[in-house]
Amino acid sequence: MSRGSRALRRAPGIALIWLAAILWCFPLLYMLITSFKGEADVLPPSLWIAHPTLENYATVLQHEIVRYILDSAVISVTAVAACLVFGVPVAYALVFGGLRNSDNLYFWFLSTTLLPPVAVIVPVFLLFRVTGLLDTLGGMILIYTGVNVPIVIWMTRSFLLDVPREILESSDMDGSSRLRSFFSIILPLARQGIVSTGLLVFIFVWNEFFFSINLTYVNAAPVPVYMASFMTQQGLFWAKLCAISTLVVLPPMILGWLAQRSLVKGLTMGAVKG
Amino acid sequence: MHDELRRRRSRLLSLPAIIVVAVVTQAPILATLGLSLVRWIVVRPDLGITFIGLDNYADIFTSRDFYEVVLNTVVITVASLAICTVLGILFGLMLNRDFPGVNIVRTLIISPFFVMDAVAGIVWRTIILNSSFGWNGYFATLFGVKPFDFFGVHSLLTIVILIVWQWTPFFVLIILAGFQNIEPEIMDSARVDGTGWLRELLFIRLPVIMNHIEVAVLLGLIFVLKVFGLIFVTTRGGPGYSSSNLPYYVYRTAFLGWDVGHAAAVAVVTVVVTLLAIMALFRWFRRRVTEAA
Amino acid sequence: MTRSAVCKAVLLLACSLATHRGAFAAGAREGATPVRLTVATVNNPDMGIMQRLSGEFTAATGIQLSFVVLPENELRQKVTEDVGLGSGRYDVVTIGTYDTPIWGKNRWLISLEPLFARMSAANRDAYAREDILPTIRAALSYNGEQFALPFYGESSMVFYRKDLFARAGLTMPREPTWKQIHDFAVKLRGLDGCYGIVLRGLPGWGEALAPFNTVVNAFGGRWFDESWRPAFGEPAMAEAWRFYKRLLNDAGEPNPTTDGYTECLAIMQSGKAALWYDATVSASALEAPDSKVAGRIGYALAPSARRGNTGWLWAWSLGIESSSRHPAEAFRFITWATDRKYITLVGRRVGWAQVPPGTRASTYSNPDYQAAAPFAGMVLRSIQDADYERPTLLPVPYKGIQYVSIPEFQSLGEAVSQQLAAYISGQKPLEQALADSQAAALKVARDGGYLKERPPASHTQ
Repeated sequence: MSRGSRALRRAPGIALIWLAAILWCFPLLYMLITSFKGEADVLPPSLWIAHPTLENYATVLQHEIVRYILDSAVISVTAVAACLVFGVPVAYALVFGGLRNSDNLYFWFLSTTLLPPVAVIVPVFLLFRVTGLLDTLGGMILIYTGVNVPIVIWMTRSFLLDVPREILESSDMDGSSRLRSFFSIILPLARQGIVSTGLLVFIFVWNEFFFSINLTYVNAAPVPVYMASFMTQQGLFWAKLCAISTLVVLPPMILGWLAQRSLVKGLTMGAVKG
Repeated sequence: MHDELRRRRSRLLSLPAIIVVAVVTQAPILATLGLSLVRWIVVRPDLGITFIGLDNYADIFTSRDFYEVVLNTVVITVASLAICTVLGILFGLMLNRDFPGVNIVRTLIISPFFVMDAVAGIVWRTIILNSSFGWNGYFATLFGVKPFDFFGVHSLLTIVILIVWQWTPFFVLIILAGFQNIEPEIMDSARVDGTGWLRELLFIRLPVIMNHIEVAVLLGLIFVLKVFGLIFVTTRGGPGYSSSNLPYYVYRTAFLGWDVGHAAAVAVVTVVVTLLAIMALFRWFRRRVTEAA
Repeated sequence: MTRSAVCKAVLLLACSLATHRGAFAAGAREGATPVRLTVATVNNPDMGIMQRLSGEFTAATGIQLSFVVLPENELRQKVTEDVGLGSGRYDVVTIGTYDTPIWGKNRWLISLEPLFARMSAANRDAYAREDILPTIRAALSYNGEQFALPFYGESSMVFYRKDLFARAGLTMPREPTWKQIHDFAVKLRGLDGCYGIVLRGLPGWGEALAPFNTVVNAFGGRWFDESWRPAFGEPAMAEAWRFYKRLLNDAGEPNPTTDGYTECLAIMQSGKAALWYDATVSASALEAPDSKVAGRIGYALAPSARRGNTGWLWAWSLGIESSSRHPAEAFRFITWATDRKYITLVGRRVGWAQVPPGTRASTYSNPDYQAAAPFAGMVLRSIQDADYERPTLLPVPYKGIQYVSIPEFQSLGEAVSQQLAAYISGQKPLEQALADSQAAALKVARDGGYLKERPPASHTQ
């Protein structure tokens, strides 16, 4: 079968996939379109932008947004780093550490993620108030780390489970220390998995709304707090909300785009055969 | 000897994480347990804080609303996870090929995951599903029918739709990874045998990626049970309690009623229910895997 | 071992630096001038203008301002958290007439009386406290002490499309009845593709319940009788529920339970409805240049049924948290933002149509404002006449027109508005919705200690 005719046969299938993807993503695409409309043109809906304008972005990109973005960036990146630093060793210990009750420990970590933030906000608020962590970057980093480390543990553990034991045992026999084999053998294999886990945690922390509104005031307010100020009940705000939503979605999306291959490949192990 | 050293080192490696997680999550849980035994209505400081034992729990288990909310939570969770799994498999199959623009298509499909759920909720509620000036109203006028009541009688369905929209990308990523990891020999041998694509899917591919599906469903379960922002922004749990899940029920008790004690009790019950659900699912998966092996 | 130890040390250092950044900043604030006030506000156009003009205040007094802007629900939740759980990070808070008396009673706000007493005679004359509309001032007081100063005030009224009315040959009386409104709406439905009327249906004690409660009052219903027994079983209440649903079914927008204030405004502004009953502040939005119906809107007082004078009363106001460390400076700010000079400042800098309405009599006798706001007279009348103390036909133990001024109302109102939405959307029959509302109100009355009698042996759930 010639290349050309095979491509032609695949064309309707590919078109269908493209259509499905665009329909699926339509609310976001439309959000992007709306961000370029004037407020008066937002409703009723139409795909056509009658008077394209950048005024929404201008309103949203006032100098003060820099402070929120900076806070969000510091909090997210530090939290991700902390989660990995704390969590990956635990996953290693669970898989290779020979602990007798590793399942129980694993389960305990998992169970701590079951609590919805709504439920603990009052105790956490009081705790933060008493320890002076309210409205501080450190406080936000602390809570996001505590909440997301179990996720890192879970995902890293499942990647490490896929590492064939033989590799480790052969390096053991070579006499290299466990630490060296971790860094030289296991880490490269699990690298993509760890990258994708880190990205996942970044998205969770970047988008987190409830804790950031309740535990910050002016000093450590991340981007979701700034976004909330556009969700007003009086007056038209949808175009501006779409503009800032588009901006806020960009960092996770760019990271996701860049790390795409890692994201997909990393959620499994490489094709290392025993 | 060597083993003992290994164990000691493992404990040391785990200690920092245990400390951080314990401080951040266990302390509040204990505090919540404590709060569930008191009566503390923040907006009535004149009533003070009094110890009332298990009265909050008694109130919960005798209120009809609570059972409606539990039922809603079960429905939302089961429906969302099931649909997400099916869609995850479908999209995974679609994306598991090489065609022009596959990267872009993949980004488009996973993009709902990157949006804050409060924002997603507002966009869906006003611009898409609103009966007067959203696309819902637009199409209704076009076809001359009454616009579908997304937020009235069918509010639970709408919540499921939104959750599915937001979380399918998560499933897609994990399942796609699973598909891409299937060793080519398995696929080749299936093709040689001449099995049709459906049987190939159901009996060869799916069992192999069962591990991935398990991870997706278990993690998905944890996240879907906690969904709050979507409900808060779109249906406000209503009408009545018909689209409230347990976290939203906690919110309503805690921040509208300011009955912190009662809310804490609901939170404790939520955790227990979730724990049981996870354990049950965990065991179910383990059994399937050992059966398949 | 070394590498991860270094990592952990760096992390610890970063965390402690991050924690202390806030502490250092606070220390700097306290030790040296200038004073910085943290102001919690809602995001609406008037507050936005205040933020933009706040530079004037800082220039004149040297007091710095930090604004925290949140939607109404989050704001109320966060400020309640702040005062109720004792963290006291806000100096000035934006609260409504619902919150003020309750918080005053709880001593969460400082009484403004001593601060007024300490004012110099010149300042007091300049501020002209007696210029503030009496009904608003009463709604912001508890036991005769005022706890907040009104930033803008509103009542409710009817907005109608003059052009559609003319085409249909109808005339709107100055104070229509609800029956007339219903008939107008039915007649105008479909004209130019319009809904006959658009009304709020979104669940929420500050959403659908605001206009709906005034309907209840108009029909002679009430939430509790004099002894705090819930009155959802009274026939007038049922009549009000039936009427609201019938009006929406006959001539209202489809699926009204999605539509809160913002959606209704959008519908009216885009010319999709012939009638609207809602907050008086909407008038400036409807007459704004970007409104599709500017110049075609007529105004009428809130409709009556068995009882007249049903317009509601609300004012977003500025209060001072009792834990504030700078009450004197905070007082300077809230008086600046609510006095006549500020209103004139807005009028000159931004436009007279955007002046914060509904707080002072002098605004309404100002010819510039009257020229820019043709609806002003009717709004003033609505606010002045609003019967905050005796809102219902039959006697009641509570105050408040579109709400019941008890702390539990946030939750009870939410619950009842959900029942209303269930009834309107056809999910529940009326008897069930009313029974559930009654049960919820009964629980509140008992648990809150309002209802003093012992429960009867056979009480329904």
